[in-house]
Amino acid sequence: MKPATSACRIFTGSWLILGLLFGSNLHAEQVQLDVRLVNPTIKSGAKQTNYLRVALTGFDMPSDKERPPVNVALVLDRSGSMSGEKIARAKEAAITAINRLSDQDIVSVILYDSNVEVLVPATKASDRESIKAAIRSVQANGSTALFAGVSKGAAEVRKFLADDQVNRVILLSDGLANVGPKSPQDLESLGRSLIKEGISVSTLGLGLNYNEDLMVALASVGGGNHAFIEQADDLVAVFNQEFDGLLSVVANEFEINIDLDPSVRPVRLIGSEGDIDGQSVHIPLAQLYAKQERYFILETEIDAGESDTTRPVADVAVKYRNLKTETMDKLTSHVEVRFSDSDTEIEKARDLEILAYCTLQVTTERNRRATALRDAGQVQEAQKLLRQNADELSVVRLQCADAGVDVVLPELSQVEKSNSVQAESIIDVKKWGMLRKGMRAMQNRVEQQQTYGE
Amino acid sequence: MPLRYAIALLLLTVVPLVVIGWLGSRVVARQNEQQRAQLQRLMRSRLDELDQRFIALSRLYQTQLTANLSQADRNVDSLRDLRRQSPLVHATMLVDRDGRLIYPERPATDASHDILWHAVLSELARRRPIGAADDSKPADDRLLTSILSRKLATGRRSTAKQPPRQSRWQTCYHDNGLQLALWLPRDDQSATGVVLERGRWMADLIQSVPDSGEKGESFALHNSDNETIYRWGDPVPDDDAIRESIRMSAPWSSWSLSYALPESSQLQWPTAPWLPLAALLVSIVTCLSLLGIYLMTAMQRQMALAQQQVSFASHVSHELRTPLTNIRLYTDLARRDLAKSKESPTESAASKRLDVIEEESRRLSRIVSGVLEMVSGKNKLRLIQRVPDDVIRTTIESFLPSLQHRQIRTDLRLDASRAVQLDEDLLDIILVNLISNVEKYAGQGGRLEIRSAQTPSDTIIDIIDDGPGIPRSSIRKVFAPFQRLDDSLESPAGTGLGLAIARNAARRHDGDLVYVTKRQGAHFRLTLRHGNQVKSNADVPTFKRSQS
Repeated sequence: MKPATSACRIFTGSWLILGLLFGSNLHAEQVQLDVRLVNPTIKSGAKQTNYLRVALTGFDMPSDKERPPVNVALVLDRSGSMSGEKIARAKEAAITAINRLSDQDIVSVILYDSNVEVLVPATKASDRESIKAAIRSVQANGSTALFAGVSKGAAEVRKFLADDQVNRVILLSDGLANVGPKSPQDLESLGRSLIKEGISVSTLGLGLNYNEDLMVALASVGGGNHAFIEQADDLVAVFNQEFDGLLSVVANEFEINIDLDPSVRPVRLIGSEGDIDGQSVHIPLAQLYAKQERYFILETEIDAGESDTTRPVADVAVKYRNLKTETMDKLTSHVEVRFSDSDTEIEKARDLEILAYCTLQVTTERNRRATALRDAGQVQEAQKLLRQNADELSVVRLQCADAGVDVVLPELSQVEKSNSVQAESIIDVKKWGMLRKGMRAMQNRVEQQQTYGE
Repeated sequence: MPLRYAIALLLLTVVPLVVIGWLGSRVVARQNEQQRAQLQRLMRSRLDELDQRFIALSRLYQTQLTANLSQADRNVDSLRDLRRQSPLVHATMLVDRDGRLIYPERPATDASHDILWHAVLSELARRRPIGAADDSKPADDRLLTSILSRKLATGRRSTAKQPPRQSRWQTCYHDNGLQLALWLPRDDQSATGVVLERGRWMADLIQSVPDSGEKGESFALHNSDNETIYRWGDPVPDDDAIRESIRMSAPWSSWSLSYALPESSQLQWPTAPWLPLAALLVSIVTCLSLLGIYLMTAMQRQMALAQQQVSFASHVSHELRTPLTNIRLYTDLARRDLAKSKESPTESAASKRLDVIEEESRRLSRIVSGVLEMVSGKNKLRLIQRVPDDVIRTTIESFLPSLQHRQIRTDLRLDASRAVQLDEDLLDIILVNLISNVEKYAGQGGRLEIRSAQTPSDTIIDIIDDGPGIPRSSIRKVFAPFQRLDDSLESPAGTGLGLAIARNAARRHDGDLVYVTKRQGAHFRLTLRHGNQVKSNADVPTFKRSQS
């Protein structure tokens, strides 16, 4: 396992801090739960917005041998547009991926054009040669029945669905879905259903002609990754990254529940899908990779309180399957808020690290809005939002740097830079197609806290 | 070829062709129609088969969700868990007896999507199916269990102990298409319901169809807007396909299933009868044309031949008549010269010989006249009072030398001694022809018997021999002109006109000549009628007329 990307480095950093906090490796084989508020102390006497962050960090698997088996469906687009270099690289990438699987893993290969063909039904990866031979024979033509491709991929995974393994559909497409359901809502709906079964979906978009909204929607509700692959040459590398993650899953079957105090109103989850029902918030999470930190930010509204009192805000309960120990583990946490009259005290108590993560998610949501505005032709407004993002991120970055919260700095500066570059490039009509894909990929990467990307 | 023959030939070939073609095309059309209908039925049954799978899927959903809803009852927490955990469930609902949505509450967020969904749920609640449930029972169908989540399939079955209430489907349109809701009504008119995850049931529909059709088949699943949701089997180009489609059963009744076969695959059977029919028509046309042409040419050849024969006979006869006339003239002159000279024994002998010459040339002249009469037209009868027996005797006398030479015995039993009106020449022609036949065919040492008899109106003459006779099958033919029974080189010389001339002469004499069937030899019977002679023009001799 190689923590090659910048995102990974951040998570490694936060893992170290957590390690220091707990002071020992006592829980080395357990997922770490961290629940914090941006403002642990708030002004008394008024209703206020506060952000709650629930973070989970995966432990490290001691060796590759103990990793849980994976059950993966490779769903490959073989429509006409894939012909030539693209299908050749896709085949190469798939074969590389097959090579990385062990005999215990289960793999299936599904091809789709206007029809869907199950090229390799779900099978143990032990007979690699025949699987690879089947992949080599693939030719490209026809249209793009993307929904059916994913459906069939999920069906193959479902054949050997088990709790103690990683269940994943990996979709590769370079074109617009033109046969069958093609709206992001329909794909989202499918992804939402699959995640409840413990099947996550990663989507890899190749070139400039795929529908990034659809692919991103599917990946984000499907608890998987999304990658924008500009050049077919990068396919193998991205497949490798996807498999790095896939092969390093340490926990799955998460049930994350946040129970809020009656005085706290859940407003929304920022950057992630979840189910808010009264005072109860449920967050789906398919799996956690080794050493990956995955966090969720809940915007809340806290009723007014008296100065110098504390009030419970939330009880967080997490259940998951530990793939190392093969047990169902349970974690709980409790968070309270303190009311104060003193602004300095409030300022001092502010958790800058959490603020940084919140800012990342909030600006990403704004980035999403900017994309929509640009789509609608409102270039100026979109540019304004992106500049505002860059400015806000810059302010937070400086604050964090001053306070010595270094762990968030690389991510902040990277996203800040992206936003300011986007703000300048967004005017160029010619570059919009590609820029948009980059923006959507970044939005998804930040929201999903993906372990690979730019 | 004369125009009318061409038209006849054309009709001969075209009429049957048109009739057969018309009948054939009707048969083919009917066959085509039947096969198309059969194909349509077949396609429909294939589609119905598929629809059964969807019905099974909806029953499975119904069974499982009914169990889930029964278990959750009116417990909001359980309903929430059901929504969060079941991959099949998008939303759960609890509605009071007045149709007000109790759960879920209106969302706290201002996300328009959530608000819209809540509005949709409220509307579903208000319009939920109430009253007696239809007859669709929750079926215990485990066939498709594999395509549903294990989470749903396990653990929850044991709870369905209370008598199952019947759940009801409801549909609406939201978020790009059809949404399915299932309601479980309660006795107090309140109800719990679920909205199914659209992406999930679409995926299940896709999964419940077979992976591929038979070769050449193409199936497709279409949504309410007739967009293709899923297509399987071999792709069939739109423009040359035979299609059939059916509406799907509830709850997907606004969706349809279609089946397509390439037109070319149909060619193999329903259109095939055209080929043998076309081949048949072509062969019939060919046969009829060949036959027609053959008949036409054969007939033409026959006609040309007959023409030739007739013109030959008439030519020869004319050519013969001139020298005959001269012979008779000079015979007459020789006789006068002889009369002027002195009487001597030689003179009387010469006179006798001249008599024979005259007699013979007269006879020959009559025969020639007969032939000419036969081929060139009808001279009037030259009737005079004559005894038929005398005529017979005169005729047979001239044949005696050659008959004796052939050792043919003659046996005359004559009993027609009453003089009647008759044309001596015609009778002579008839007898000459018949007797010369006997002379030719009866063979060595045969017998010729001539009988005659008279009734008040008729004279009957029988000419009988004991030669080979005429086979029964050829009797009709012998009277036709130019007919010779034996046309081989060894057969006796002849034109084939004799009997035809004889019968013709007999009929002109108001009589007839028939062949009397006999065990051995030939027997011709000549009947001459002399009661009321209509054709009386006795003063004009045939020869003189012909000569002049």
